[in-house]
Amino acid sequence: MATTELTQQGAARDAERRRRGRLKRLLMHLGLIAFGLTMLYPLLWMLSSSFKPTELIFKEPGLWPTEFEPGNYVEGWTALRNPFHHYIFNSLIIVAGAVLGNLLACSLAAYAFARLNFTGKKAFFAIMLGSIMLPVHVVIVPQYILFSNLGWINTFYPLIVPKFLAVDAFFIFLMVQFIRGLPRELDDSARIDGCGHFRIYWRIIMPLCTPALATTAIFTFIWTWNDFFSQLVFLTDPDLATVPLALRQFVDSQGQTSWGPLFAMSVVALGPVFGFFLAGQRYLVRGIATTGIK
Amino acid sequence: MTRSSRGRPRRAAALLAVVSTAVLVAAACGGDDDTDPAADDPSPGEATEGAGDDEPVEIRFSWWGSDSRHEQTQQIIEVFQEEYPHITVVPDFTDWESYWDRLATATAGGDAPDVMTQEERYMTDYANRGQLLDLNELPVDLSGIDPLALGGGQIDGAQYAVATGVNAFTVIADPQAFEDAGVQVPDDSTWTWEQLADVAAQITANGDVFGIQPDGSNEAGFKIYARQHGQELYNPDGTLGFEADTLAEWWEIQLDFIESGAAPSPTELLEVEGPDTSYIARNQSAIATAYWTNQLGALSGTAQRELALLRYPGEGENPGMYFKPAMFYSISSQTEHPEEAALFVDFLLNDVRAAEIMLTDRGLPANVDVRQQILSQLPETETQVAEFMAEIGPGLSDPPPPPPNGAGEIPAILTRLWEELLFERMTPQQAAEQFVNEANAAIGG
Repeated sequence: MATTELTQQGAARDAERRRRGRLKRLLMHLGLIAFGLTMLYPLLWMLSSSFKPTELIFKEPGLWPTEFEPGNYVEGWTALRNPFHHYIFNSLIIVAGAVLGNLLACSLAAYAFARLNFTGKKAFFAIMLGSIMLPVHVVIVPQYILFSNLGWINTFYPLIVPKFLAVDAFFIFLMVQFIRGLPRELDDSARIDGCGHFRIYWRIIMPLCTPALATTAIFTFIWTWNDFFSQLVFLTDPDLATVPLALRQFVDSQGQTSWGPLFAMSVVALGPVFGFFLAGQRYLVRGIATTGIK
Repeated sequence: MTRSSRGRPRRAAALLAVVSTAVLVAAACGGDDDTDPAADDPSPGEATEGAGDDEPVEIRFSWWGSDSRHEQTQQIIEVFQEEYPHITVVPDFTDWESYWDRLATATAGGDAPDVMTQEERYMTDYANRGQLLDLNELPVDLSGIDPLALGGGQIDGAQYAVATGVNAFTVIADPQAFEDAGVQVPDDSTWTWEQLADVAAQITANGDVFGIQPDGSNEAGFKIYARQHGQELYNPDGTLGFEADTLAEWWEIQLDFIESGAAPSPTELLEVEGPDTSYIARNQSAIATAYWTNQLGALSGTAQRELALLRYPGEGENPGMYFKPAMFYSISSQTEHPEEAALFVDFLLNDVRAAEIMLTDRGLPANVDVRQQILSQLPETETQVAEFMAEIGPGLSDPPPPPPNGAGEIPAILTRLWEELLFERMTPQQAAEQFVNEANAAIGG
């Protein structure tokens, strides 16, 4: 008797606890959704503004447009010197070069720092990390002089070629940390099978590095796509302008900015970043899952 | 000029400091002479001697603005190239904020555009660092230029820059809002600051909109006030030319608008970014005091109403308003083709065909004859501006001298202190004294 009562009580307590747990989770989700929507609000506002006539954007700042104006997209696409896909194409060339360069060069550098022994390794590592702290304004003028002497101003080279020389210390650091976490026994067994350093790097380390590579690719994509300053400085020919530069051409801080077309093209410009992130995010998640098993 | 155009100049000024060092380094290395042709155009074999008439020459022209200006300028370049087939003008444009970063970097890199657009706050910096050529020594015809506009580009007798056109900083009013509130638009040739305060308070009290959108962060507004009191923002020798008390007084006037309810609250005021988000453009206020005449088109376009231009209050006995060069054309001292660059500047200034395309986009044309010839072609708001300028022109006193080195930092300082005032973290007197200290530090070096 006593035991059944006890178990009944226990069951009741369990049910109570479960109910409370569910309530808690419900509240938590509601809170998170509300928070998420708040964070999304500026984005939604931009989306809605891209469908409003320019004069109404700041007069009626509500979310739902009273007048629907899809013409902003047509106007934005054609308002500049070149059709907008021209700028998207320019941006894509730079982004593709930068992603490829960073993946190859940063992983090679990271392999060296993580697996090889060479004189001054610690010092070089420290210098490499130190370069993260250099603000872009400090290096831009020497860079400009260098590229100007090479005759590279108004070409995509200054934005792509350096990436093949492992200049993004952040990604090198990321991959060094990742490679250090991989068991050395894998290298040793590969060496017994007759692999040299390059083959260990290419056949053993790289395939295991997918999550770090995906992270590098995604961030390089987003940062290069959104990079404004170096593109502004190195590309002055309007035909070579990239998406951020093209978007700036709508802005006139002293007169009338074409807000409608600007927002419309901003929405368009978000597309590739959003798509790339969605596609890449799977690898990020999978990467984290597989490294967890190890 | 407007709030949003002020964020960057500080960084641009810092960049320029780096620039000057880098230029010195480059000059010391003796390598700067042979960098330019390669940078202008990757293809070698470009003519290095610009003097030959028929040899193809390429010059770069840089400006800031938005898409409509870019389109117009491109048309002007095409007309110019038809006239001078051997000269190719390469456009180089971006918006106001990024313009100065790019120009500073390119100048430091020994690759400045041959013809550049300048602005008064930066022009002195560039001129004093030897980056601009004296236009008097080049074949640019300056005889037709309004003398009021010519002075702004002169430093120690050298004409480093010539005004593209002129604007005036002024008061903009919405007659419709006045009517709705049942208030008469005052006579602007005699009105005083007290009258402005009364009128603005009345409108807020009677109607649904605010009386005024004040601005205590625009140096041009203060410049007028200081001039009305016989002072100047800057003296001709490059020092500050006003008393701290005058600045405190001016700020006091602006703050009183907010206190009396004539103006929106401080937080609401800080949300305004550029003319198209202003209260008057959104039909939310009857008066705005912080815009230039060339912004009338943008304001009334967004407001979808006819707006009126009024003189600043207090102009009666001691006028402080002035014509400001809207922008300048300058020729870089790094150019390989000064003759061709001069031809292009001359075309921009003196050729009616250029003005017919540009109209008043770069200010009311500085060349007086050209100004007359395009008057009939102006759209309504621009005609209004031209008439207003013609009306106030005769009463104006001499234009203020060009701002000194480091003047590019002043807007940021003024804005920051104005925001301190809005949130009552300082008294106007304290803020004015601090402004004098900080401004002295900025223009001292």
